[in-house]
Amino acid sequence: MNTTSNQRSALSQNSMLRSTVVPTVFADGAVLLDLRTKFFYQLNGSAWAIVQLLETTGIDPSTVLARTHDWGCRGDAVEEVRDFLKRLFEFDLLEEAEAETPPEIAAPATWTSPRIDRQAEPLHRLVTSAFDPSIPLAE
Amino acid sequence: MLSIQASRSPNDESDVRRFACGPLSVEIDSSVPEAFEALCAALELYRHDTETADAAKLEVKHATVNTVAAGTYLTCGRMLVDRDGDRIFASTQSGITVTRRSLEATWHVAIPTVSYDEPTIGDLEDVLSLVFTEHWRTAGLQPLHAGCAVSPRGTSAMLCAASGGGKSTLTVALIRDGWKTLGDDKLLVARGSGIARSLTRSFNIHPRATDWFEELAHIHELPRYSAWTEKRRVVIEDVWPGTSVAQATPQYVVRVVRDDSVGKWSLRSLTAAQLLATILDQVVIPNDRVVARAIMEAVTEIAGRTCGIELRLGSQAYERRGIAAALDAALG
Repeated sequence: MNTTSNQRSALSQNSMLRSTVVPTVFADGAVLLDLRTKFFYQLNGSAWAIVQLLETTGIDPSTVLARTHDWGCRGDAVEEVRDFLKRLFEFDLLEEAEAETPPEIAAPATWTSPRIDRQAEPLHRLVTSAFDPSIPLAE
Repeated sequence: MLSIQASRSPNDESDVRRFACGPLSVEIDSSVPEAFEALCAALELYRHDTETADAAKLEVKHATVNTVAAGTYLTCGRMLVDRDGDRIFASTQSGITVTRRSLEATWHVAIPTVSYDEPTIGDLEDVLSLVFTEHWRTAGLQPLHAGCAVSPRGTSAMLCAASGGGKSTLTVALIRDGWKTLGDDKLLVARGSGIARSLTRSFNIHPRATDWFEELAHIHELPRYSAWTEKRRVVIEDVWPGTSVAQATPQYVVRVVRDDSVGKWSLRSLTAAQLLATILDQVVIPNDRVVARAIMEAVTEIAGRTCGIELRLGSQAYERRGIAAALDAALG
């Protein structure tokens, strides 16, 4: 993946969550599972709020920054939101999309630095059976 | 195991038998006697619930289907599965195919001319796994490749590890010290209630377990679990009467890890993220957004109502008793 071009894209284009990425609410945030790569990602509450903006609608980064400003993200914290968007692109979780009106998303209870953690190892693509997710033993 | 006597269908060309696999009613209607026998043998190993949540039917016929699935929905060791809307098609390495044309109960199994050796029988079991998991999930039950044990104090813990990771041997060690079990590697967890149900009546145990458990002295005489392993199928109640339970609500998830560097064993708490990762490692998630979402919701439900513990097992873990008491203490 070309990180530089992705970072540039992150700051210029309308984007939305890839259709292959499945979000699920977990703890104070959410988990994203990318069905293409089988990697999953944990998001804290602020990160989940941002991702909800991008879940079904194409939005440009300035709209995301404006919305997070409404949620209490100010000063140096704005850069943290940009970094978070860059990480979404680096992980290839976003795709280009037509600009749309952003949805109404409830503000996080407390604004904290948006955080995304990728699980070290992806889930197995090749499994033993429909029941057993272990890697098949050699024949 | 609930089953009816095999009977001939009205056209007198096929054998019909009905089973219950957990809460799923399964009817086998086969015009291929060898396949009928192999499927029935596999189905005999499942427990049955008193309530039926869903029903499936396998129509088994002798036929050669010259189409191979691409594995877009699921890629298994010997089986590829495609899904297009509600239509599911799977093919195995031995040439067996299974088709579900819509959300109907009937699955059409086509079997070419094959020798019924262990790989072919394994392929038939893979077909059953596919049928079961689809129907169980529809009935609101999430399949988990995990064991579950209940301590003498009544605390339930799901035991998670990959195949060969030590779930069965640990379960035997716990049973020896008064725990009960829902099985060593197959559970169904109900969405909403979190109740785990036992699915099988047998353990798959490696013969080396006789080093620690004398009650398994005759394990070498038992049939192998599959072509790929030395493990033997041991019927729980035959060896440890009164130790199996049908259901429990797990309060803990125990990640079992082999680690020769720890000597006997070590225990530590898991973070929420580690707990979630542990459960995710025990489920199969097909490449379908709707199905994946339902599975992820089931997994996060389980993670939300349990605490996680990691149990690292050293090479001396079972040389002396004590692991059951240590785990019980760790469960609080």
